[in-house]
Amino acid sequence: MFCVPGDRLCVADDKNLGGRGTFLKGSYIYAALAGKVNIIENKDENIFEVMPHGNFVRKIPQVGDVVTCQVEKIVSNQCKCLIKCIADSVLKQPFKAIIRKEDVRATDKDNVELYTCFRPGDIILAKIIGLSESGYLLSTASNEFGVVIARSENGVLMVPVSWTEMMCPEFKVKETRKVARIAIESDSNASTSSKQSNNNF
Amino acid sequence: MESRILLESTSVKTPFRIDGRKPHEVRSLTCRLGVFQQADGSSYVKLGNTQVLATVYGPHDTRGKSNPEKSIINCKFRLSTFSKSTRRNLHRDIRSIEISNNLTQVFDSAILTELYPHSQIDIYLEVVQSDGSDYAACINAASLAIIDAGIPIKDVVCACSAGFIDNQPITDINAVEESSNGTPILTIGMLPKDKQILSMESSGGIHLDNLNDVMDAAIEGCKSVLFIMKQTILNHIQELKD
Amino acid sequence: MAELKLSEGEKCYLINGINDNFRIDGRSCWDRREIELENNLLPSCVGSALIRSVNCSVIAGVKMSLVSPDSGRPGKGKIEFFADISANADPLFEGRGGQEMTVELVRFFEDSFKDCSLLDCLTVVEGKQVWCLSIDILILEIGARASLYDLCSIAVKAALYDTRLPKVYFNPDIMDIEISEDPFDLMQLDVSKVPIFVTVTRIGNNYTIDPTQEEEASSIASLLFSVDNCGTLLHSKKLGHGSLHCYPIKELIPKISEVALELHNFIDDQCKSFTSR
Repeated sequence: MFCVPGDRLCVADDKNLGGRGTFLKGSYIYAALAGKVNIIENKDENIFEVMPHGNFVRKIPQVGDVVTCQVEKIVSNQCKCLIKCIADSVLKQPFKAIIRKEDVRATDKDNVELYTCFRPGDIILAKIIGLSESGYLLSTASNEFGVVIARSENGVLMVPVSWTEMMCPEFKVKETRKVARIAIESDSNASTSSKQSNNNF
Repeated sequence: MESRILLESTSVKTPFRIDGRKPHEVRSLTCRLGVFQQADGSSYVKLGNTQVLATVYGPHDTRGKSNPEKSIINCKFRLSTFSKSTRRNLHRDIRSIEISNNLTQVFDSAILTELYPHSQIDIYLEVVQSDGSDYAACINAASLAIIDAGIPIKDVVCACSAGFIDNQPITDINAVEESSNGTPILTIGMLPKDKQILSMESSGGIHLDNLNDVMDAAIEGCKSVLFIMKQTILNHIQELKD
Repeated sequence: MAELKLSEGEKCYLINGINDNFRIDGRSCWDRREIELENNLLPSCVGSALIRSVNCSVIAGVKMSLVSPDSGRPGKGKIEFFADISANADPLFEGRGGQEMTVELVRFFEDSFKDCSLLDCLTVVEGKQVWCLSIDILILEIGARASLYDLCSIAVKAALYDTRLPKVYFNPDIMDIEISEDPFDLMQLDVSKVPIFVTVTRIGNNYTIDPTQEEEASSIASLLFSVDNCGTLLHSKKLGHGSLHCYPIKELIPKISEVALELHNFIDDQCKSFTSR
């Protein structure tokens, strides 16, 4: 069943709930998008949702999302970044975000030197923990968040060595970063898949 | 100069307008969605000879201040230089700025902006050919473009203009009727389901006793426009699904 | 139209393909994509045309007015250009955002049309009154900047082909000119000498026409030529930041006149088929 915005879908009561693409007004559920109506029937409730045509949903970063960003500049107590992807979907236009000094690491928060954790141009995996005036607030205070791709001062792509260091394969120089621990896929070729997952970004 | 007869009564009871329409007849309306690939949503509306292109970009990051509770709507209306019979200067048009502001207010109430805090939605309107009822055509085009972009909106916003000539309310004013002296024009933009008016703009003097009839004429016009817009949207979705 | 960022691997793939005369969408280096042309769509202009290519759309509208000619050129009419990029193309072009690009475009048009033979058709009374055509170009959608110039010039030529100016007669009773009021007493312009722009983009070792956005991001520089249907070069310009060798440019020259002639023929055929309908 196809609908346009403003179409009344059903009565809103205990059994019928409005899902994505709908809104509640008075005692009815209305469609807010143009597309196909999907009814998800659970045991005691039906959820009405509208799948937009083209099957993609307009996304903006929400609190709790895992995002991929690029570091723009480093100021004394915070790091300014641009959010490029939300989970799997690449954004057309980047969103501004900041990482405060105390949100970089989970342990030893006060003695963090930002320049030893991130450098401009690094690609970072982070989690959104809030919204502020100058953009979204990100946190890398967990093992799986941090720098994923970085280039050394010579411009060569570096390889992670430990959770605080990355090494340039050509000149064998180590640089300090807050490195992300990418989850290794657990299948029979564990070693090859860990190499692949490091280069996949 | 204004000795043209805008409304001609013949021996038949219904008078005819200067372009041959009956008083409550809306001009032929064609709409298309998804005309531009690069925009998030786009539409093209042709109301008689008035042609309008609308594009929507967003929601994306704000340029400047952001609102933590809802999305900022930025609407820009522009008449292109060749849209009217005399060439126009693009950049110092106060009327365009006024229309842009009105449109921003209309869509600020219609779009569910609370779903996208800290972001901005841009709506751009370009009138390629102007033949009366530009404002109404723009509201219709912007509404279709927003629906094409997949941005949640409360209803299909539709708009129509109405006027009053020789004691007769008429629907959908064209350029000739608009430019003649003394024709009062009323444009109404509304949410059709709840019959809520989002925008009402009038120019020229209408006696308050006649205002009711003119408003009814505009609302009837909105219904005809809405029917075609809904058909267009449904056809477009069904085509995409195939 | 954000700057497209390509990785080194993608650029390498693209450039190697072009070196072998094979582009990523399957065309060869000198193939152009489909162009749709539509005439006579704006009743308020004396001539208009809409050009649509894959992701580029341009509308050109021509308006006329009677003015007195320049003192140095009493027998020639005037053509004025005005270009504008609609915010529809990208939010960057909101307000005055697109001025850089449009100024470049307008200057190139003015230089190409400076000595066009079309201007001679526009004289009404030599020394006193000439037609001034104001050509407005509205860019609705942009893909690659390099193909933008080509499409704008096609739009302008098609709009001029479509232009019908009212005939002007000299009335001895009032000793002044009189513009014919008959809607069918019109004069068509001779647009055979109107120039067309051809942009060639240097990618890798080859020159190509009509690049996509990815190809333009991997290109070195572009050359823009304004050529009329006899093969006369009216104006040329280099676009882009890279540097070019001179020998390949010399090899390019016969190819350019071939491409330009093809475009002139394409427009003539399309426009004739419109008028015959």
